[in-house]
Amino acid sequence: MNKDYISIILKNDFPQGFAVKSNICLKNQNIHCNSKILFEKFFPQFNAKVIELLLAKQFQPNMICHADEFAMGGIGYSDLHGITLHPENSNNIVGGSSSGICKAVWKNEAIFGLGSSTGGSIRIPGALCNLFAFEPSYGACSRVGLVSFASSLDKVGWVAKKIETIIDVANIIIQTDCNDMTSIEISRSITLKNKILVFADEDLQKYLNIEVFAKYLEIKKELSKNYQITTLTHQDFKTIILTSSTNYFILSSVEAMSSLQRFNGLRLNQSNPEQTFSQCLEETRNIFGSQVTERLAFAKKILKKYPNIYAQAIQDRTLLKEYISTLLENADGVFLPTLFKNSISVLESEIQETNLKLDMFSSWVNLIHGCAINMPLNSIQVQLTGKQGQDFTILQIASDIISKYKNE
Amino acid sequence: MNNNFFKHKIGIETHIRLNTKNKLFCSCENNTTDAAIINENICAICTGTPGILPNLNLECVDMGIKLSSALNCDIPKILCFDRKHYDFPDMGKMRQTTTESTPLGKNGGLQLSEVIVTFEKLALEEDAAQTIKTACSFTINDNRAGSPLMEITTSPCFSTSNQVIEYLKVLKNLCGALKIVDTSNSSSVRSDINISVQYIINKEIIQGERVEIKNMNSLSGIKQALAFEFARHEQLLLENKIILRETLGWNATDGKTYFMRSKEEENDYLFIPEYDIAPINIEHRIISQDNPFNFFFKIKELEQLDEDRLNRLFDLLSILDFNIFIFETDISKIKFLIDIFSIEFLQNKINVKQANLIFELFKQKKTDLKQIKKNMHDLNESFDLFMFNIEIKFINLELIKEFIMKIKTEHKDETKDFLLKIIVQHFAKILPNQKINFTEVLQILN
Repeated sequence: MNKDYISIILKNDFPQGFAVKSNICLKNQNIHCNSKILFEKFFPQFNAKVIELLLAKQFQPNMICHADEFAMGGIGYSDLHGITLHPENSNNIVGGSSSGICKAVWKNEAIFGLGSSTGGSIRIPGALCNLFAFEPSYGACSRVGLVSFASSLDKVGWVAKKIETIIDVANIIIQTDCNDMTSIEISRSITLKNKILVFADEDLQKYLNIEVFAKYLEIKKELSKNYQITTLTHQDFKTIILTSSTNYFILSSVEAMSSLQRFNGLRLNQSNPEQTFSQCLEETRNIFGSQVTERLAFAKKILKKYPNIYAQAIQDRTLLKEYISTLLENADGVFLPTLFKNSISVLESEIQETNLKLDMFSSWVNLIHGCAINMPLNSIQVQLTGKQGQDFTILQIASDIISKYKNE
Repeated sequence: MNNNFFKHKIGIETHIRLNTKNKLFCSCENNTTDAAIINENICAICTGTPGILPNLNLECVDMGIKLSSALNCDIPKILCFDRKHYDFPDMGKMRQTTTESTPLGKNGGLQLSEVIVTFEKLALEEDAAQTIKTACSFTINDNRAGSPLMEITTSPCFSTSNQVIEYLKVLKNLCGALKIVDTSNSSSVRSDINISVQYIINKEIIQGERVEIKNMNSLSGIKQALAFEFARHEQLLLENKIILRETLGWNATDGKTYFMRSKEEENDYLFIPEYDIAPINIEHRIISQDNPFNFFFKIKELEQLDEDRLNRLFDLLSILDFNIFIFETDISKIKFLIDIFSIEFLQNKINVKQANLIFELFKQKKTDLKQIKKNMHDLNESFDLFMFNIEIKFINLELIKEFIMKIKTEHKDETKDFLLKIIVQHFAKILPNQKINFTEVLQILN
C-alpha cells in the first residue's frame, strides 16, 4: 500500500471512520504534526474537543494522515515524510496542508476528513482533489486539541465527497466550548438575501488559467438566474486579495514563531547519556524542516527589525474585517474561484511563484474570521465565502447551488 | 557649598503573588506555599502542552482591579493579554502571558511620608516555573508555573532606601487588608530594584547606566543591596569608569551583588497579542464586584445607619474619589474616617461645610491628622472640641466592651475580623498614652 498519505492506521474498514490530520490530538496516539521534533515523542493524554463530539455520535477516527510540517505550506510536503502525490495522477500534488485526509477521502477510505486551516489549508487540497471542503468561522468549532500554528487564524475544517456529509458534520461539531475562550455561538437560523458579490472579471482574468476563467464565467451566468450578482470594484480586489496575501504571510509567520517557540528541544525530548553535548544539541535543537525554518527566520526578522510592518498588518486586518462586514451587510457571501488552475504538477510546486499563488484566493477569509466552502462545479473549483457566524447560511446556499446544478 | 554631588534614583518592580484558589489559566490549585513534591500540582495547561488553550481565571482579574483602584490607577475598559517571548526554560510555552499593552492600572499614585509614589503600570501575568540547579542536574518544577502575579512598576521616584522600605511595607499591608496576598508567605512579594546614579559636577550631569537587582524579598537585604550598589556606582563614576547595563543578583551571605546577565533590550521580548484569550470587558466587572466602594460600605455598617442618613452621607461622598478609603493604609486614619462619617457627621456635630473641607483635604492627599486639625481650626474654633471627642471616645473600657460586642454579634466573619483588627491596632497606638492596660482590652476581644 502506498503510504505517502497515512501516518498511522487506527481502525480498518470501519463504516463510520474518518481521517484525521496529524495536528489534531488523539488520546495516546503519536501526534507528530509531520515534524521530526514531535515524531515518536508527543503522545497527548486527551482527545481534541471536536474528536470527542464526533465520538459521541458514533464516528470513529480510522487513520492519522500526513500534512505539511505544522500545517505550514500549501503543497503537502514535509521534510520528514516527503510529498503526498495525487491519487489520480502521480505527477501532480494533492496540495496542502491537509493533504493526507483529502487523499484518503478521495480513495473512499474515510467518509470525511478532519483537518485544520490557517490560510486555506482545507480548501486548497479539497479543490485539487475535487472534494467539498468546508472551513467554519473562527471560533465556531473548539480549537482545544488542535496544535496551533497561528492562534488568530487557525480553525478546524473538514472535507467530504458529498455536501450532505459536510452539513452533518457541521451540525455535530459546531458548538461552543467553555475551554476555548475564542469560541462563539453560531446562529442556526438561516437568513437568505439572494445577493452574491463577485470580483470584476478583468481582475480575475489576470490571475486565472484560461480554462478555469471560461468555466467560471459560465457558472457566474448560471448563478445570475437565481441570485442578484453585484460586482466589486478593482480597488476591492486589490484590498481583499492582493494586500491580504502579504498581510496573511506576515501575520501567520509571526504567530507561528510564537506558537512554535515551545518546540525548542528543551522539553518533549529525551537526552541520551551516551551522546556528547554537541551531539545532543544537534539531535534535539534546530530540527524543523525547510518550510518552517524559512517562516520562523522571516518572522523573527520582521519582529526585530521592522515591528512597524507587523503593527501595520494587524491594523490592515482590522480594517479589512470591518470593510467586508459592511460589504456583506446586504449580501449572502462572496463567490470566487478557489484556485488559479485545476491541477498542479510536482515540478510546478517547486516554483516559488506557484506557492504564492496557491492561497491568494483563500487566505483573506481566515484574516476576517469568515467561513468558506469549496465546491466542485462545472469541472472547476469555486468557493463561497461568508462573514463570521454565517456558517449555516453559506452551507444552505452551497447546497442550493449544487442541487440546481444537478437538476440541470 | 560643595557643587559636586551624587543623585540617586530608584524604581521598583514588585511581583505580588495573588492568593486565588486556582492558577491564572487553569484549574490547578494555586498553592501560595510551594508544595513539597516536585511537579505535583500541574496540568496540561500550565506545562504548555501543545494543543491546549488557556482559560482565564476571572478571580485574578477581580483581585487586580481591587489593587489597581486601591493604588488610584486608571483601569482600562477592555483587558487584552500579550505574549512575551524569551528563551529561559522556566516556561512550558517558552513565552509568558501578560497584560503589557493594556495594563490593569496606569498612572496611579500613593502618598508616603517623604515621597509621592507614581505607578507606571500594574500588569497581571503568570509566574514562571522554579528551576533547581545542582552540579549535575537541572530540574524544572512547574508547581508554581502559571500562578497569578501582579507586577507593579513604579517610576524612578525614590531616592533613599528608607523610602523604598516604607513603600514596600505599605504595599504589603495594603494587599493584606485587601485580602489578595498571603502575607504570611515571605516569597509572595518579590521586588526587582532598578537603580541609577547621577554625578553632578558644577551643574553638569553625568548620567550613570541603570542596573537591576533581581528577586529581593527581604527588606534588610534591600537596604544592604542599595547601599552596596550606590557605593559601587559612586566609586565607578569618581574613577570615570563605565557602568554596564546589567541584571544583578544579591548574595546575602557575602553582602555583595553578583552578575546575572546583561540586560535585554525591551524589543527582544518580541511582544505580540495573545489571540488565545479573548479580550475581557472589565467595565461591568468593576460595578458588580467587591470594589472599594463596597468595601467602604462594610466599614460603614458599623453604626447601623438608617436610610435617610445613609443617603445624605452618600450625597456627600459623591464628591470624593472612593479609592481614598482603601488608599489609606494607616489604620488610625481609617479609624478617623469612620469616626468622622459615621458618628460625628451623622450626629450633626459637624456641618456640611466642614465635612466638605475634610473631603477636599483628603482629595489633595493631605491626610495628616495634625494638618487637618490646623486647617479646620482656622475655620472653626469648635473643631478642636470635635477632634477631642474622637480621640477620647474609646478610653472608657465599658464603651469599648459594648462596641466590640456589637461588632461580634452584628457582623459576619470577614467584616468582623477586619473591624476587630482595626480596633486592636488602633488601641495599640492610642491606649498606652491613656494609661489603660492593653492586655485587658485583648481579653475582652477574645
